[in-house]
Order: sequence, then structure tokens, then C-alpha cells
Amino acid sequence: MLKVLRLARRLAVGGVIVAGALSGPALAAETLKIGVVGGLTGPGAAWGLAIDAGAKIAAAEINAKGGLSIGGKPHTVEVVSYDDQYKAASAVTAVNRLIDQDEVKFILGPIGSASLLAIKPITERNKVILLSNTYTAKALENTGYVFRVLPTTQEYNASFIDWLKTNRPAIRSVALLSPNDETGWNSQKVQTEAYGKAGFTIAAAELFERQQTDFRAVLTRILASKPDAIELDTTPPPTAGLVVRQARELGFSGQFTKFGGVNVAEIVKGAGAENAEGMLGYFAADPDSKEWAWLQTEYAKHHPNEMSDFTFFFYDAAKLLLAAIGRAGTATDTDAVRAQIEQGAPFDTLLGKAFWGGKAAYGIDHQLVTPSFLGEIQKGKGKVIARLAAQ
Amino acid sequence: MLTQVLLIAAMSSALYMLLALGFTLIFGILRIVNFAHGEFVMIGAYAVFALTSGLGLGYAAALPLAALLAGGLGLLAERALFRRYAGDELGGMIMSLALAITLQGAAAVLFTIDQQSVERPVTGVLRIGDAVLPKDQLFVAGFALAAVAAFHLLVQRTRFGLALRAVAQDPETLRLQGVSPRRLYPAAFGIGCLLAGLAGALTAPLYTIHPYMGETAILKAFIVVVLGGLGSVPGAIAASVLLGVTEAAVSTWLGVTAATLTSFVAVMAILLVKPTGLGGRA
Amino acid sequence: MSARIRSFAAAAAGPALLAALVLLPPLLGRPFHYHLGILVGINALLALSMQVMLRINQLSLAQAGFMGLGAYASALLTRDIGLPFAAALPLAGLLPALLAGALGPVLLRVRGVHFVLLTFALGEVIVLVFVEWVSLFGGNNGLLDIPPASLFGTALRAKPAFYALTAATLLAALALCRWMTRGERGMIVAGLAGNEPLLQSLGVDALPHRCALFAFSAFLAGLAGSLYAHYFGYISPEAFGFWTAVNALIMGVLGGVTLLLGPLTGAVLLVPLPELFRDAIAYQRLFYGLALMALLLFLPRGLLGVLRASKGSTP
Repeated sequence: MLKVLRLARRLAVGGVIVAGALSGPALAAETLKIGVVGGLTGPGAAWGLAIDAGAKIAAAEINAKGGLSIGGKPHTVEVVSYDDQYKAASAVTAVNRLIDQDEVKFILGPIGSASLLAIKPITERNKVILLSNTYTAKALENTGYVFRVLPTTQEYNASFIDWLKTNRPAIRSVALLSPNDETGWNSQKVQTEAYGKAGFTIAAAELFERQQTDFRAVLTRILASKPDAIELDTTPPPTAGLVVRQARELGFSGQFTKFGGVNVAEIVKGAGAENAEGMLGYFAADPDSKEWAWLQTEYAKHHPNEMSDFTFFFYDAAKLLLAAIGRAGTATDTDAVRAQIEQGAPFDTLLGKAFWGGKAAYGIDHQLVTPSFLGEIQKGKGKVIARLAAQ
Repeated sequence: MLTQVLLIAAMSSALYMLLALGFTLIFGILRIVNFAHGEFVMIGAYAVFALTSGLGLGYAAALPLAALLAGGLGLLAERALFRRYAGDELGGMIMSLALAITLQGAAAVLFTIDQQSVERPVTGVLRIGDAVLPKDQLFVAGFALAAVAAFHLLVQRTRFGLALRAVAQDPETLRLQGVSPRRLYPAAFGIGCLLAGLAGALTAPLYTIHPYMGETAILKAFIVVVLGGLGSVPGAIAASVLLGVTEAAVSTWLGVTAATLTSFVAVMAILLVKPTGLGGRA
Repeated sequence: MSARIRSFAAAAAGPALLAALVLLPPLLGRPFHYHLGILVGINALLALSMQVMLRINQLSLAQAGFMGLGAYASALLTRDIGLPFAAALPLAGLLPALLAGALGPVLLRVRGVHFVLLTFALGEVIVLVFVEWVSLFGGNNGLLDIPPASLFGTALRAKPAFYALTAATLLAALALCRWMTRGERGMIVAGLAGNEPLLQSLGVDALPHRCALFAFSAFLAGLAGSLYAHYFGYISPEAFGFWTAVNALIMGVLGGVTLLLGPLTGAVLLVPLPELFRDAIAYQRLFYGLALMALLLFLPRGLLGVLRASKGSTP
């Protein structure tokens, strides 16, 4: 009997803990909550942590100035982050929790296409503003409250490929390698069209599985098509590093391009500096700039790992969101805030002037267009060699 | 292209043998399907990383130390967690899953989730006709084969090896002779984890390392061990070659998902037709 | 405490626990609690399907794959063929059940650890087929725009309504499992687990019974898949992989492998767990693993197993 009582007490204590966790903290009178959904643990966490840190840096900045003034009242900005582990089901749970428990009206993230497609119906139905980055073209289809705060290959790769044609005339044929999912299918299609239009021959177009680490077989096939350059597209940077190394070991001596986004540190780590030498790619920001140095210092206050350049986009996105809320004078009427976000362009961002575009490609001007940087990897470091204006 | 595919197959086969040996040894002796085997591979890789980048040791010194560390942790795990599950296949399997999750979590906390890389001790390539053979892969394959040979000698030529074989084949008889199979558990589990750690330490410079890298390793070990027959060492060796060749060929000509699909269908076929695998005993 | 009261308490404990768990979301009352309740229900169904096999001492890791089959079947039948949900739900259960029933005579000849490995491979094959067969299953991208569940012409879009559907499905599944383990059928099931030669000597042919149980377990997994597909409106292969099966297994073990309410109890405890760890994201996986190991070491019969031991009767 005693044993039962003791057990019952233990269960009761556990129950209180669970119930306490489920009921959530009470909403403070003058707090504005911003939600974050992204892969914060597991493979690919660098990108999710970029959302988290970007939002937190922007929040800390405004809180240090006494908070965000909404309708004349100062509000402390609080960032509530949930991990979706790149899984659609976890993202749905996170968004349900943000909307219902935390009563959040504004969410940054997610990164994964699957996560976004799964939560979009919920955020749209609840008129929750979603500042997201996913490469799928479906992200902005039939949406009212989704904004994409980062350019995709669709936005900039034509100017990159033109640059390549003019400045590296020896390159005539290109092989493409992309991940086998919505992100990769979409970006490979966009790249194939753009390279084709610019007069390049597509020697091969291959897909790989995200968890793959051994690329010798697929590279053997690619190298048999004798390309002048290998375009690594939206291959995640650490994986791209492995591909570069294995391709060099199999005797490939041509050019590497990666117009789907570069993280120099991660690529060099995987490939080795000598193998990555000369790779051309899309840089979100200039690693030698003072903005980069500043953001990196701020990032280090939140997370111990190497900063991903996506942090720029989410820091800027959080800032433009907070500014729009301030101008709208309301944290509850998302239609008013949405109008302010749309009308606020052009924005001054860490990267320069940015504005909304995308009507032609997606049917709505919810795609952030920013300046982009063409960079080269030199001696293990990223060097920006051309700055291409927003278009 | 054919030469290249064969070279890739040969390199992979040697590595798969090493990955599978420890897994099959632990099952053969303790009857535990160790789902945390891949995490001991990961431990070996991170140990090399920490010893070279952190403590500034040379790779030649870090390699054996990393293997020993994985083996030592294996001994601890056997004592603290697995001993009680000897003979309880289901219980041991579930405990090994819990251990796998714990080790992944611990690695993520200790080393962050960033991918890390280890400087390669060997660089350069050999050319064979129009095919290329990277020297670091050759080194890994050669070392792996040497380790497999050493393990074979240990099993075939020593009293300890004799006891191991006896437990794997017929624990009852051994018990009747007054030898408790339990006395072999720590050594078997330790050696199994040491081999896994060695595989991780060897491949660390080849690929990047991260807390979840064990999941790929366990899949390979799993396929090889089932094809070869759980607990069978010669079977594992034959199955490694089989997997290396099919995988290289199918993924070159059809793609990597097709290759994985082929492996699993082969696994199912073997389990249904000859559950004891290519190598014989259950 | 008199013997009569004690036996009454024992008989009432199970239904009381079940009622308390099922009524938890309506009592807490917020949509998010219904959301968690729905997830608990779906996971409990999968864990229950695994338990059906564990009752005859066979661990099947293919259950997540069967759940995937149910999910894809239900999604395609409603979205592309226009079948009503009320017809798709049972079909989503029957399809994997048919597959399991057809494969059963071959697969179930294999026992013990080999059966685990065999079903693990089967689960992987099912998921890889979803990945490779892009034109039908959408590859890694999965299927979008799955219509919401609807009954009698009303869409169950609101969470409480979908929760009621999930709870009703789970209760029906529990009732079926209870029916299965009582009386003569229960003796056969127990015999399949422990003493098959005895069964055979009594003139019972074991294999058809094993196949029936395997098909029944796949049926439950398929139902879980259908609910999953129509609740999320989106499915992709990775949701039905190895770790989904493992999580369901852990739920069963946590609650108590042999107890009817074990899987549900495990799901109630594990599904909201990430909520507790959300302030320590980096440590989440480590804590989860450590908690599991501690549980396996100190409460090897699961939480309900402990309750039962201290009361000396079956909940």
C-alpha cells in the first residue's frame, strides 16, 4: 500500500511538471513574441540555428534600445524557437504550439521544403505571417501571408551564368549534381534552363540522396561525360566538400561552380583547401566585410558553431518585420502588418538595398530580392570577385 | 570505367569487412544485435579528431589510441548495460537503441553538430590504365585487411580464440565443461567495439565526421552481416565482397537508391531462403 | 482493504485510466492539447500494432512501413480517385493487411532475431519504393494537398472533431485487441508466444493464426497511417522509416509490453516529451537517450508493469 502511495505521489509530481509545461508561461503585458521554426538539431542544423540567431540578434538589439514601440507602448521582443528536425510532422507540431500556446502571429523559418509545405495551410488559415526560406517554387504559390526572405537560384543565376560565359570562355559543357528532393529537382530545372539558354552544353544532370557520403560511383558516371565544369547547385555545403574531394581524387581537374549557395568554411573542411581552390559560387554576403565580422561576433553569443551566411537574411528579415509591426501600430492585426511589410520596400539591409519581387515567377511580390555576390575560394578563404546588383 | 568500378568495389569491400566483423562477433557471443555499433564507429572518428586537432598528436599515434578508446567504452557498456541482456535478444536490442541515441546526443553536445574533418595522413593517387586509385583509400583498405587478418589469427590460433569459437557454436557444451560463456562477454564486446572504432578512425580522414555518421555505418554492417549469416566471420567476409561489387556496379549504372533497394531485397531473399546466411550457422 | 474492494479496484483501474487519458485533451481544452492528443492517438495505434506481434514474441520493424502504405493508399484514394474518407480509412487498413497476409506464410517461418532483421529490411524496402517511384508516390517530396477527413459529408477540419475520430479509432482498436486476448483466442495467442508444440498437439495449426495476427497488426498500422495522412494533409517517405518504428517500440516498452494499455501510456508520456526539453534543445537527444536507458535498467517491465506489480492484478 505504501508503495502504491509513493508511486502515486511520484506520478502526481510528474503530472504537474507535464501540465505546467503544456500550459505555457502566462503572456506578459508588454511582450511581443516572434516564433522560430527550423532544424535546430541533427544534420543541417547550421541553417536552423541561423534563423534562431538572426531573430535573437535583432531582438536583443531592439530590446537594448528599450524595446519595440507598438502604438506608443514599448514591448520587449521575445523569440520562441522550436526544432522541427527537418520533419514535416514536427514542424506542424511546432506551428500548432506557436499559434495556440504561445499566441504568436509572426514566424521565421522553416528551411525544409517539406516542413513549409506541411505548415503553410495552417499559417494561412490563421493569418500568421511566415518569413521563410525554402527553395521550392510552391512556397509562394497561392499564398497571402508567406514571404521568402532569401533569393533562390531563380532570382540570381542568370547573371551568374552570364558572368561565367564572359569571364571563363573555355568552359563549354557543364555537369549538374543536385539533391534528390523538391529542393534539388526545382533548382536543377532552373539551372539546366539557364545554362542551356546561355549556350552551354549540359553534359550530365545527376541526383543524389541527402544522407550519401560516397559519391565515387555517381562521379565516375559524371566524369565519363567529360564536362568542363561541375555545377554543385543546391548540394548542402558539407556534402559539396566531399564531392569536390572525391571528384579531384578521381582525376577531375576542371572548374567547380556552386551557384546554389556556398558556405566556404564547410566546403573547405570537407574538400581540403587545395581541392576547393578556384571554386566559383554564390555568396550571400562578403566574408571580408565589417558587417560579416560584426554579425559573427553577435552570433557567437548565441551558438558555439560556425555561423552560416543565412544568418544575414534572418537578421534582416526579423528587423524588417519588427519595423513593420512598429509602423502598423499593432501586433495582432496581421493584415495591417502584412501591408506594412509589402510597402516598406526598399529596405536597408546589411547587404545593401533590398526590395520585393517575384510577381512574374510566382504570381506575388513576396520574394525578397537582394544584391548577390559572386565569390571564389582562394587558399581556403572566400573572396568576393563581383558584386551583382539586385534585379 | 569498368576498372574504376572494380577498384571502387575493392576499396569498399575491405572497409565493409572491418565494419561487419565487430558487429557479427558481438552477436555471435552475446546474441545481441548491437544497434549502437555505428556509434562506436563515430566514437573512433571523433577520437582521432580530438587527438589530432585538439592534442596535436600525429595520426599514427591517434589511430591505435582511438580504436582502444572505443574498445574501452565498449567494455564499460558491456559491464553497465548489456551484461544483463545476454540471451534476451529483444531486450539487448532495445538497450542498444537507447545507447545509440545517447551517444549521438553526447557527441552533439561535446563536439557540436558541425561537420568536422581530419587531415589526411596519405595523399596522392595511383593511375591504373585510365582508372585512378587514391592512395588514402588504398591505405584504409590495406589497413582494414590487415586488421581482418589479425582478427582471423586471433580466432584461429589462440586459446582465447578457441573459447570464442566454442561459445559461438555451442555455449551449452562449454558450460558443461565448467567454463561460463559470461567470462568471454567483456572481451568479445570490447573487441567488437574496438574494431568499430578502428573503422571510424581509419575513415575519419576520408569523409567528414558528424554525430549522426553511425547510421550509414550500421546499415552497411547490417546488410553484410545478415547476408553473411549472423555470427559468421567467413560469411561476413564473403558478403562484404558481394556488397562492395553489387553496390559499386548498381550505383554507377542505376543510381544509389536502386543500389540500396537491391541490397535490402537481397537481405530479405537471403533471410527467407537461408536465414543462416551465406556463411552457415545460426 | 478488503479483498472485494481490492478486486473491484483492480477491475476498474484499466477503464478508469483509459477514460482519464482519453478525456485529458477536452479537460485541458486548448487546440494544442487536442493536437497532442491526436498525435498520441496515432502513435498509440502504431505502438499497439507492434504490440500485437510482441504478444507472440515477434518484433516487427515493418510496422512503420505498413503505416506508410496505409497513409499513401488513403491519400491517393481520396485525392486522386475521389473516394470518400469513410471508405478510404478501412481500405488503408486492409491494403497493408492484405500484403502482410500474403507475405505472412513466407515471412513468419523465420523466428527471433532473424524475423526482426527481415521486417527491418521489409520496412526499408517499402520506404525506398516510395522514394524511387516518383510518378506515383512523389519521391522524397511526398504527396501534397491530401483532403481533410470527412464523415457524413462534414469535413473534420476542427481539431476536437478529428480528435474524436482518432480516439474512437483507438478505442475500437483496443476493444479488438482485448477481444483477441480473451477466452479461447487468448489461449491460442498465449500458446503462440510460449508453447507452440502444445498448440500443435491440441490440433491447432499455428501458422494461419500467426498470419492472421500479422495481418491484423498491419491493419492497425494502416489505420494509423490514414489518420496521419488526413490530419497533416501532407506525407513524405521519411515519416515512415526506421526511427518511427523504433519510437513506437519504445512507447510500448515504456508503458509495458504485455499490457493492453501499455502502448497508449507510453505514447502519452513520450509524444509531449520534446515539450519538456524545449529549453535545452542541444541536450534533448542526450537526455532522451539517458532517460530511456535509466528506464530500461530500473523499470524493465514498463510503468504500468510497476503499477501492476504493486497491486498484484491486471489493469
